[in-house]
Amino acid sequence: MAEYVLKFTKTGYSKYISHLDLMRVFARSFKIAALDIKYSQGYNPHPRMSFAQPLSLGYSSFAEYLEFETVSEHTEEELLAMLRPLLPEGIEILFIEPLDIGKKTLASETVAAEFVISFDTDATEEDLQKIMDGYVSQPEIIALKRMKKTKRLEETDIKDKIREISVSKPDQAVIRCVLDQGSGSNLSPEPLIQSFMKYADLDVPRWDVEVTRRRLFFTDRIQFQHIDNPL
Amino acid sequence: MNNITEKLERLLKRVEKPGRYIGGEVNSVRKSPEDTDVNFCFCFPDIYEIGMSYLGLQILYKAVNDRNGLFCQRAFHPQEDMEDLMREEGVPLYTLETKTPLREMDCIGFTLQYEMSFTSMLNMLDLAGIPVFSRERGEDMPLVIAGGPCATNPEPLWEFVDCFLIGDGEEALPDFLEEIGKAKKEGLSKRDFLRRACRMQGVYVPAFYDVEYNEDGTVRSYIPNVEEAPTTVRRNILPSIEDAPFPVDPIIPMVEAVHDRAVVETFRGCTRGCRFCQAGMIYRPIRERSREKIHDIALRQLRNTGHEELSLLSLSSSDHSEFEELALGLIDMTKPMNVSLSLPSLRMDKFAFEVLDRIQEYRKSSLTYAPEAGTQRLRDIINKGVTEDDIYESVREALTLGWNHIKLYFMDGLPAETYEDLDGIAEIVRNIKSINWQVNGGKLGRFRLTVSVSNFVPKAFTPFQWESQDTPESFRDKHNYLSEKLKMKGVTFNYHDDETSAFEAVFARGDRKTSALLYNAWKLGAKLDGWTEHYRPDIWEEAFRVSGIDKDFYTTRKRSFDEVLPWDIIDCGVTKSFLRSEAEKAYRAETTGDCRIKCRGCGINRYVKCEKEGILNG
Repeated sequence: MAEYVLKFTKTGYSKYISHLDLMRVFARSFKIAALDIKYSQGYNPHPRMSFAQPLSLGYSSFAEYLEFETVSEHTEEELLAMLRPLLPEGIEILFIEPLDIGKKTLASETVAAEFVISFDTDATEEDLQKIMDGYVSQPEIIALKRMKKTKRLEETDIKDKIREISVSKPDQAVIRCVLDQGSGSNLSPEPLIQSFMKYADLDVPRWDVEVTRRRLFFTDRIQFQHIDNPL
Repeated sequence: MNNITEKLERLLKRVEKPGRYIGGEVNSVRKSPEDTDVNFCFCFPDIYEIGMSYLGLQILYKAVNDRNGLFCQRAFHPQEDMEDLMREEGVPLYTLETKTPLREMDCIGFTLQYEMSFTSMLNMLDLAGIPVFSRERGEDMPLVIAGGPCATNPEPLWEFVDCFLIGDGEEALPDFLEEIGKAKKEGLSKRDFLRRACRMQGVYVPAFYDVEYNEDGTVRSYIPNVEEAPTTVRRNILPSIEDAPFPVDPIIPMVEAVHDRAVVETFRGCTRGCRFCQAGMIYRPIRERSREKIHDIALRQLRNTGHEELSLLSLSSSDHSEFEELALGLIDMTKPMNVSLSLPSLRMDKFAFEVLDRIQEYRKSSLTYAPEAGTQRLRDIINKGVTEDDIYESVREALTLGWNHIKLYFMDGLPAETYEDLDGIAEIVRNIKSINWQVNGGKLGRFRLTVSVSNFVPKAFTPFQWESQDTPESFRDKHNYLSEKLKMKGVTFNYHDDETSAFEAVFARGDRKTSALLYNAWKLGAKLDGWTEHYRPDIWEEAFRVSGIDKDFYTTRKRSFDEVLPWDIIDCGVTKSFLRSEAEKAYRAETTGDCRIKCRGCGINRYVKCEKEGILNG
């Protein structure tokens, strides 16, 4: 038995493949590759695999992680050669390596993620930086966040879930931020986008805002052999 | 990055299941449109999940893309949210593969699988910025073609489609597209190209015929108005399907399709001669794939797609001449692969139970029987060669083996149907319930019986093509009657909508005048009519009114045998005199046996050899 982690991108049109459909894509690729993936026990066996963090539909990413188990051991080259040709456009494998974290999962070890949020605006870089200074120096950053238990949108303070945030304008406006991500504390970029636009009094429709996940941060217990920096 | 790609970003974030609109699936084909002689787009007039379940798309996609110089891409009808945004943001309908607007294609082709998709075809043209009327499309617009079973009566679409391809398309479509390539190089106009192309078998160009009508509104004659146009257009028939193009690496849909499974067509055509069945007439003669070939295709498909289900496609699985060996071989193949095998339209005899027992083991899903009519008299009239005893014997076996859900299919509104025939349906249901009582005792708990009744729609090229269809009122009365009769414990009764059957009937036997009805219905907003949530009966009523179309003329009117029928311009291989003799036998409740016992003289062997003629003992 062997455990592996596969790091991949989700760019271009593939960002419109839903989480569920992406699961099917991988399950099917394993099957076509005739990889001896381990199946769960039970009435409806499914391949033992899971993503570190689901990605919202419409987000691009350069840092997606999939854990899976196989019956026998494989070399990295072997797995790459098997799987690369079987994935849809935009899903590129960055690396595959053995993963030895015992009973833990990548999901349980995820703590934060870096996002890049970009949009067109007439505001200058200077304007944007001033707005950002004001935004982050509020005693509380109130945003509408969907509550896990009630599923309702409620006003809540998101400030302590924002680890880093900055803005620049090389061409488009670009907000780079690191947000809590994981089972302990979690903040989706959505409440941040909505509250920032409101604070800045910017009228940018949500569909003109691009979000890209650049990096996932794990606890110190997770150390990859490959360089895991953003592209 | 073309213009569409940029705009799409703004659209896809706002729609449900954007995966339908992006292409890029594994096994989809990419060629460079610039280096291609003929750019073709295969259009399915329904949404992605439906169209991607259709095997014909995968077959033709491969058949065209396998030829150098041809590039086949795909387009589907978007859901309403996407359509609204496309119109709002000015994004024309585009191909999934290269995001090229359809109007930049050399040719676009629609498959016509059901009448209720006709409005979606017009809507797709409009969404593509292509005028719906053939006469309004200039040389800069693509040639619009259509095929599929509904093209056997092409007339309701005569104003919208430049040219129809009738019959098997695996060779005809790529051949036709290559002719377009030649014509392009020669700089021919569309009209000159069509004058040349209409000499090819199966090519019907409606503009090359003038239609004269009698005073009562029936057709008097078809008169060719160019010398190249043949007096009748003969359907394309592949003499054999053994080596016909068939995908072993089909496109794997991105969004889960309705049927997400490997499929192999085992044979085309049917020898049973049910008199209501269009497929049984227009796909003659029966042509089989060999057992070895089916096995090989299935294995390669499963390996290339990772599908977890394999299904066989034909009009009646068990009628393959080597069915037993075939089924056993496929079981042996699929079992170790963890692939479930599904054998639709299985005749439930002793062997079938053995097979099902082996493939289903602990999972016993429902079993389906299609007596189609409630009494032997009516089953003889429609030539459905099944007796009640056959059914009871089989049901008893099924219940004994542990099945507990039986489904029964019937039709209502069949020619010469009386309320006694409806009583017969209730009688069959009662009898099956009592068989269950005998087998399982009083334990009715888990036993379920589902009775589905569909409305008879007379179709072109069937022995019932001259018959009257029931009125919606009569259908309603019959449904109410059956609802009462079938109020029994453990019995579920389903029936089809009364109104849509009338619209289907109008187009199934429509002449050129019905195109006005179609146009007006679409203009008033009809689209995706096969979907209950989109179908709007009020629009269709209004469309009838505006078009001045007399519904009864097309639905309830019984035609005389001498009448020139709008589809007489097409020669589907089966002769009109054979259909007539079958109709006359129906009136006398006489049956016609399977043509694998002996030839019944339908006329198809004038054009192609019937391989299976006489292989069975009477």
